[in-house]
Amino acid sequence: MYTESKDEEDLKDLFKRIEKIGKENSKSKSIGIKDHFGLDKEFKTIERVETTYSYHKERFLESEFKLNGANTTTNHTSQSSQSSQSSSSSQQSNLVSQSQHNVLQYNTIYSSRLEKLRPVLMEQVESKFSNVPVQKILQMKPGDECVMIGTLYKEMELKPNILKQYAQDRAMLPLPDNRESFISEKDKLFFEDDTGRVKLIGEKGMVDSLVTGLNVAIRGRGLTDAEFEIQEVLFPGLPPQPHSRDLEKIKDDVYICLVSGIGIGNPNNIFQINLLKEFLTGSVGSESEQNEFIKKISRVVFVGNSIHKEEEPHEAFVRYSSRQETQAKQAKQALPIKELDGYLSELCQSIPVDIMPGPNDPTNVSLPQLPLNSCLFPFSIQNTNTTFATNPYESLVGGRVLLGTSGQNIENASRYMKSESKMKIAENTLVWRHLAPTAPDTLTCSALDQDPFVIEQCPHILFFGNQDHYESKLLKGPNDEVVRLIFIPKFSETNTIVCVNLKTLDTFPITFNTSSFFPQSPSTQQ
Amino acid sequence: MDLDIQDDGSKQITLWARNPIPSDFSPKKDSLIFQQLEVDYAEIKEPVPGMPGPSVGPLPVVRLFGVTKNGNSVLCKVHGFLPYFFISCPPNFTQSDCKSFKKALNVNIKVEDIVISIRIVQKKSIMGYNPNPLTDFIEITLILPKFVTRCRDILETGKHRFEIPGQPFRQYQTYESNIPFALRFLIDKKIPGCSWIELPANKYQFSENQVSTCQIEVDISNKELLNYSDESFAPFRILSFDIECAGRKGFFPEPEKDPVIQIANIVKNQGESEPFIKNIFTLKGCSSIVGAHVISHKCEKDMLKEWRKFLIKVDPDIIIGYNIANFDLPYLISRARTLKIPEFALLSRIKTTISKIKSTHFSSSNLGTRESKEVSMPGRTQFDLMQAIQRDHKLSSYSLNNVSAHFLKEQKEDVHFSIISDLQNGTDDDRRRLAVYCIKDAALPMKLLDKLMLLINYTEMARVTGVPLSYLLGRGEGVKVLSQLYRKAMVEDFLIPTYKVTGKAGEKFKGAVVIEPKCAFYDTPIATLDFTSLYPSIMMAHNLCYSTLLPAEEAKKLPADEYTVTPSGDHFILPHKKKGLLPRILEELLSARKNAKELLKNEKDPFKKAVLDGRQLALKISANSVYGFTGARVGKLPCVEISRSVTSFGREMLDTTKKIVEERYTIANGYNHDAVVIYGDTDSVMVKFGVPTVAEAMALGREASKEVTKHFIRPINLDFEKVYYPYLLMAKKKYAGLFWTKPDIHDKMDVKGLETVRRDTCLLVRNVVSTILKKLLIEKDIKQAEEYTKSVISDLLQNRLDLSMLVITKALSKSQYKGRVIHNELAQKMRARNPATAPNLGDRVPYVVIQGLKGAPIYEKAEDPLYVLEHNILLDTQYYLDKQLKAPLLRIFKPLLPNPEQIFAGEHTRTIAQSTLSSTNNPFFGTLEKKKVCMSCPNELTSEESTVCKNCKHKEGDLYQTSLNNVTKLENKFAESWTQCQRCSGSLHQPVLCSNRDCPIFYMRTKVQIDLIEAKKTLNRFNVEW
Repeated sequence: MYTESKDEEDLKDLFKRIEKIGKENSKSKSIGIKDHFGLDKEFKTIERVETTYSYHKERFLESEFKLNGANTTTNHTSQSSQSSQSSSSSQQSNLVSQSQHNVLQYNTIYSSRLEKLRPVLMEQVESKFSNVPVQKILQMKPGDECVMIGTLYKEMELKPNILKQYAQDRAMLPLPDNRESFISEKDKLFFEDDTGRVKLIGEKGMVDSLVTGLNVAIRGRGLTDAEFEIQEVLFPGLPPQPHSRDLEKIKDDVYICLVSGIGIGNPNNIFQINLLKEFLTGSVGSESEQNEFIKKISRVVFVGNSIHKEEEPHEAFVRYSSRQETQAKQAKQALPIKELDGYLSELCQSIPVDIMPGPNDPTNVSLPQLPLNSCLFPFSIQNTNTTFATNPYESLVGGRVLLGTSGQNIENASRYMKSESKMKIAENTLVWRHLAPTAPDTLTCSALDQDPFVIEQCPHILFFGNQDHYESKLLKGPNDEVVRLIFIPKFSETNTIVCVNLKTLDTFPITFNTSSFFPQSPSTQQ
Repeated sequence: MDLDIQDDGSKQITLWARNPIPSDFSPKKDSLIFQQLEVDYAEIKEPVPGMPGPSVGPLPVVRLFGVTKNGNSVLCKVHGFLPYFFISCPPNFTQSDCKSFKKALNVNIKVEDIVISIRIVQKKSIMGYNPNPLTDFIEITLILPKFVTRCRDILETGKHRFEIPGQPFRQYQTYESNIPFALRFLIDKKIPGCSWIELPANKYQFSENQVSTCQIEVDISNKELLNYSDESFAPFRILSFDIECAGRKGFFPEPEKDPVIQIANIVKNQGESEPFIKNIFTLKGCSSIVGAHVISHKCEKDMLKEWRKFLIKVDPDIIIGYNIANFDLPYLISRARTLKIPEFALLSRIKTTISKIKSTHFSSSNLGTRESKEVSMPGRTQFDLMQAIQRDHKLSSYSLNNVSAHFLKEQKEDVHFSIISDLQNGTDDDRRRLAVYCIKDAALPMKLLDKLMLLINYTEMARVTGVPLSYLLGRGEGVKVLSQLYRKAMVEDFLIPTYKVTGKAGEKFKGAVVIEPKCAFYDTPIATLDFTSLYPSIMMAHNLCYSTLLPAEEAKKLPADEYTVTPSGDHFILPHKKKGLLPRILEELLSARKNAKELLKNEKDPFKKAVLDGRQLALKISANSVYGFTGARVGKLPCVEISRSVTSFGREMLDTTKKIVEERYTIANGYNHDAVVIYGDTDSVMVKFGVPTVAEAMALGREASKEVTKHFIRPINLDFEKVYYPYLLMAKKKYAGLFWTKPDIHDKMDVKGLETVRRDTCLLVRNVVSTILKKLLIEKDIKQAEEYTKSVISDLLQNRLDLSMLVITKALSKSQYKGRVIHNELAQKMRARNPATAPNLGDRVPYVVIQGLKGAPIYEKAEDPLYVLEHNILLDTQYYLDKQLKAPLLRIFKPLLPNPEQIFAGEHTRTIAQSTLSSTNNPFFGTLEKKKVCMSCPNELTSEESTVCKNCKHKEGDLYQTSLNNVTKLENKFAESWTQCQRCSGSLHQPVLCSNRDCPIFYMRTKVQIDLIEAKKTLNRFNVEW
């Protein structure tokens, strides 16, 4: 079945096309491979274009690792409050730390967020509403026009509510609420600063377009009875974009490949998964082709859900399972992880790999997600090319700031607000200067003393994994910021990866199409 | 809104004040029409010129407090009404003897001119059927109500050796000598509670020297005031308030020592949807609050004085709050006394009347004995929501948290009183925080009052039973029956004897009986036939009343068609000879109930429906209390002949029904099945007709009820109401079934007598029982019910259940208990540990049962759930299984499974090492040196190893997975519960301080907080750099 010459013929064609696609930055093309490659082939080590690379683990891990128990957390709380300007809040937290049931809560993340973004919003306000007084909620008087800076909270009737679930039998598992949108007619918007809370009166469209957790400045008029008529909303706007000298060193094209939801262990696309590996390691194609494209791929980032997880049917309660059953289940769970370990260890012999966790991966669920644990990957961890990263993820590659998540933030926000598209929400995260405003309210998030999701520097490449389809947008900011926004589709469903050119920020998808090779149904593959 | 009250004082005061009286209003041309709320009486020193009554004082004046349509407060003083009572007239006592009797009585009392008049009247006693014409009674009118008791004692007890001139010494039966004077007035004037009163123009006069703070104060003769027919409500002012006190660490606040620091007030007019005043008085500065006025004071004394001024200015008609009767009001008054502010206690509408604290208690068969405090405040009706809700609703806890969660679906943040002082001693912002809670605590009672339509329902009740509003909460059921009985008796010249309350146990009689249950799981429709209002209808049908009771020897003299003999052997005259008073009272109550039910039927709004349902239920209770009134041995007018006749009729009727049904619905009579009565209790009979469908059972049920009803006297009515299908009959008064009133779909699941409705069991039992019943009855899946039960048992034994499911609560109701009682022992233990947070008298003590030494008594094994969480103490899960779960589960499964015991045996009951994640806090290990041990085997780890030893290295991945699963589960729980608490607290930027133990997620969120830290620690052991 395997014929070298024909293979090379085809691949030549293939890479020419890829090259062309890259240069033209055109739309997606699928790649049909007309042959099969051996799985246990020796890998050629190809010499790749080198780029500078730094990954800052602490960016999303810091607060998490400090957590060594109640005492230290308490200290954090009081420290952070002290640093957050007012003497009254430090008093408060002292008081809180007296009672030991109050450690580890969510209020600190909101406070930290507002402290970080208040100066930014203040600048915005000064330039846009210079003649309107800025006030705290406490000072608001009915009838007076003013500007206030604070956090939004949207009260939504349909929002999942543990109290309602708990009114039922607690030994029963509530049916997960997977509705597309939790927006309803009765949604109410509130605005809060450190002095109080007011209800915002405004158009329904505006209420729907905003979401809990955003830091905004609002201009409007105070009404009686703790209400505020809102006229205008200001967001922090794009953060400053760093410029690195490394970028000037890039003379030729350099690519990064983004792969999301590869789902190893999924029996339905074993072939494509392996084809991807062959492709990235340069096991296919001639030397010239490698020089032209493959060598220029400097790094692969796996953007979450690298492990296939079978959907479990909903059960009304946790059935008692015997020891054998539990063990069998564990063993079954461990299989795809072992498979991924093997896969990565082969891949990283040839190319540096960053692995971000996603919602299905074996790590914690709350954001920020911890890197996949090295003890699960005894083989691949031995290669320094492998980096187990956090989700969200931020790194500096060849002078470009990469920022991305495995998609939970966009997916969650889209259920609680109305937006013309998910891409618009993605774009908005930059305008909000916040990756995940709905955390912790509806998006599971750790109780942290600092909010790591505030975007303090504008990335060049902002990507979101586990999307339904490939989409990309080049965003140009008012101060010459240039951001490439990318939606990376699930590989398990689309067999598509995305390449970004670090030099030009051009991007294009590559689809590994097997239909021409296996004309029969995919289920017969195994 | 005005943020700064001081700047704008005058505007505030005008906002607080009531509408002015219309400027052209004049007693000469305008009649005064008002709705009365509160009725009492006072003594005046001098008679008012132009008013009837004795010419020298002191004399009584009845005071009616009310409000006009315009919202003006009214005090109407009614003159010329005097207290009186009766004694039976001795033979040969004539009109001419009255004078000497009066003189002798005055002499005996040793105060001059107490007795105003003595005359002979024609009346008869209500006790016993008496066909004879009216006979002579002596009516004794006194000058002041307070002399009634004294005078009665003289005549009744014979202690003073009093002799009526010309009569030999004897004791006299007194009549109507123990009715409250104000109620007597209402009865005589035929004024029901909360009714409208009209003072015709030119018949009343403005008082010259106003004694009250009411806007309109008038005097009128008792002969001139009229009832005015109106169903509407005057715009009453309702004040809801709540106070916060700063207790010392370890003690519940005491007014002698601890200051009042905040008083929140909400004022609303009846009929308006929103309050028009929302303010808070604070001690020391407090940052402003959006939507409320903050009025700060530097000194507590000033604050209390200002608050009193505020109260007088606002002049509320009704003061509400939560537990104000027992806490807030007495505390304020005692505190003011401690601070030496004598004028503070002038809270009433009478300028010179000081509010006093009185301890009262009342007993009722329904509610048990309750001790409470009462603060007198003439002119203002107090309505403590806590008392009303305790009276009308059965809840697991009556904390404001739980009550508002239950009715308003609002979980309320709860600040434990131990941190109140800390907040008070903090900054303006801290005090603001406290103030926000305080305002919420004042706002919730107002919301509850509206939502439960309490004022409307209680007013309705006051109108039907004829007692003032304040009697409904402050007194038992008896006074309502008494009021109605007096009203009826008066019309027919009956007199009601005053019986001395003996308190002696009377003759015992058989209570309601049950038809022995045939316990089983019935998978066929069971028709239920109910006697509608059984006891009232028996009393009506058989004319059971004091006034119809015939002594046996009297009955013998009468023709047999004039009386009934009850199954208990008592005799009553039949209605065609003499209709009893009680049957007529019952008719009125039941027709009011019928009206309410009619409204209920047409009402669409689910909450109003619930309210109307509450009203009809209250009327039903009132009707049933008539029976209770006759049976109450320490009541005002017990009559065992009536009560035992009622129950004996009830028993007989059940037997008759069973007989008729089982004889008629047989195969022999052409039906497809033989009907069997499987159970019967008090007023209902369960019949298995044997038919397979609900529709058929309904048809037969309807037919049978009609058929059986024919055998009884009207208005006794056997009604077909519902079908149970399926029906699980476990024991007497313990059953469950799906409840059908329409043939196509069941209405609900109905559970009687099981743990689901009882409060003294833990939530686990209630939850499990109700879930199992759902599975059995609705899903009809016995197998799944069994599997579910096993999974719960397994979770229990492995300590995987939410702690709140295992919490048992008991009220600490006495300061001294005989013997060692679990919750009292625990309360003492907690007091020793931290007096600040320990439960106080009246609190409910929550506890869980922990593992102890073998054979340790249960009271040693009870522990505070929070303490258990914080110290990772092992629970005695076996206790929960054996002592809590087992009996109810066996009861349910007994009719279903051949061998129900097997649920409690098998693999799922094996306890695998209890999953406490670490032993760091375990007292047993506290002294041992901690060494890191392999997570998989007992080997100690070397300094390089952090998780497993080298032998177990291959298991590391699996262990990590297990540890990870634990973390993710906890993370989700943590996020769900703490975000909810953050939402509920109404603030994102402030930490949650709530310590509301009634909140369903309180223990869960506390546990998950602790567990998550532990679980992450474990997980972090894997995160060592390589």
